[in-house]
Amino acid sequence: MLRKIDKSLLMSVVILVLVLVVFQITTKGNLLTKRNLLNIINQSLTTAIAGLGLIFVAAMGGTNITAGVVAATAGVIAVTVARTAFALTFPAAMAVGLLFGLFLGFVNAVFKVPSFMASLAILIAGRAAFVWYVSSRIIFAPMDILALNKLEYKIPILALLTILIGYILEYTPFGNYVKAIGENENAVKFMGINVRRYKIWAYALSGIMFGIAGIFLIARSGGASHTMGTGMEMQVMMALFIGGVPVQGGTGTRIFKLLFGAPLIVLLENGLVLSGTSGPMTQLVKGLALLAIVYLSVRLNKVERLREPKEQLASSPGLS
Amino acid sequence: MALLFFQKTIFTPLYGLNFKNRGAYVPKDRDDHGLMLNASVRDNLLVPSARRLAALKNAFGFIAPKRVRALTKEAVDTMSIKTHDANIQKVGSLSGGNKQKVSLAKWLVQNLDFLILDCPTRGVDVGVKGYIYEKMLEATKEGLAILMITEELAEAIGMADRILVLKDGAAVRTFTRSEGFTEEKIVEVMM
Repeated sequence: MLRKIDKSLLMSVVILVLVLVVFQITTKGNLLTKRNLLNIINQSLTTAIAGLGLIFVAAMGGTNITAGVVAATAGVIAVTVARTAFALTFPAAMAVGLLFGLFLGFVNAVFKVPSFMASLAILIAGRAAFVWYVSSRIIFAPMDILALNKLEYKIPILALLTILIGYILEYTPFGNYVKAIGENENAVKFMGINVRRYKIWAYALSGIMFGIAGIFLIARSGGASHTMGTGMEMQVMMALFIGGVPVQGGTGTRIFKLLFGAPLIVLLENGLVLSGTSGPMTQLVKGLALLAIVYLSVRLNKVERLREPKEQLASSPGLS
Repeated sequence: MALLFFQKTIFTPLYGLNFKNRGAYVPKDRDDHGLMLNASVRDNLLVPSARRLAALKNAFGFIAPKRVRALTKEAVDTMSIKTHDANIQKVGSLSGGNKQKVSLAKWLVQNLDFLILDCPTRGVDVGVKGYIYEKMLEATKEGLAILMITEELAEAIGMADRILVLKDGAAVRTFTRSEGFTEEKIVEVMM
């Protein structure tokens, strides 16, 4: 039956096919070459890792648009730490991300500041501090970090993180709670579940993953300038939504949707660039695509709700 | 019996506090406070039991799919919830009576010590109403204590061992079944 098909997923598959067909034609076949595909995979890895963190926040129906600034800050600190002790690179980046995440989670869950506004404030202030610190310098990454920019390392790390996050999201109480918060926060409160605690944890996890993404971001670019990571937050959010994660969160949040969405959003950008579209035009198309996707996502989920009163009416006069 | 005074805000003392006895509150506003309408029957049943089912009862413990299936089956069978597929069907697409069965089933499978039911038969058709009463009595026989908050006098007279009348934020009087409930006596106190 139609009911069994996940409509959001269907939307993503349609978009994928559309993007592939259109760009394969407009790029005169340059889209699906081995080199370009490797390039797409390489580019989407950072987005996917950041998305693995954001998925908990998205499941709660919240947002965290600090991905870019957290990744940049964590990346720069990780590079600085790596110069003296390479072993501490990952812990340092994760700790920086954790602090950002805890702060946002605390502001959101305890002071009830909407996550979008709270993370926007952190984004602005954090970016300012970052620009002030880096100023016009370029902070180069040491060789150890640059060595991480290899698919042989990146793919196993992504796989490992995906399994870990996938496990938490699908098979643990925590994963079920965050999805339930996205469905109906009040109901979760009435179940006696400590919503505040799990919200803070979700934001903390998103921060940690942004931190890890920061290492790979700096490894790929070779160094950090003050613009490092700008626009990443939107890329990560688009990856989730284009993959079919419902905008309002909930049980439709699945890990494979992100793994589908991350390459898809990179593919969209890559296809536009290869077709000779100018930079601003690419951004314009991306913006419009995001709007369309979010609209579709909300729309597809609404249909389910509208069905409810009808069936209730139909069943009430009949047998119990 | 201090709990009884908190009719409107009864959940406040409930969560956050450590009761020695395990209990739950089934809210009056089923759709907004009780259920996740857009989630499947399975997910609605799973969330309150998640911690109990998980390995080590930890928030990051493994919930075996086998145990989720068993829980869903048990809940659907206990309350005979009419659903074509509990894994897929959204609670929002169930009838009012079946929705209420889901809200009750998710707690009844947990073997709790007490349940606070806030207007459990509100917006439920007559057949299911009787069924819910039946299940409540069955559960009390197995040792569950039920505190039912109700706006229907007949329901209280029919079901309760003790009736506590609340008026203007205070408990006015307690009636017990042994002294005999009559509508006139109770209404007199309520007025």
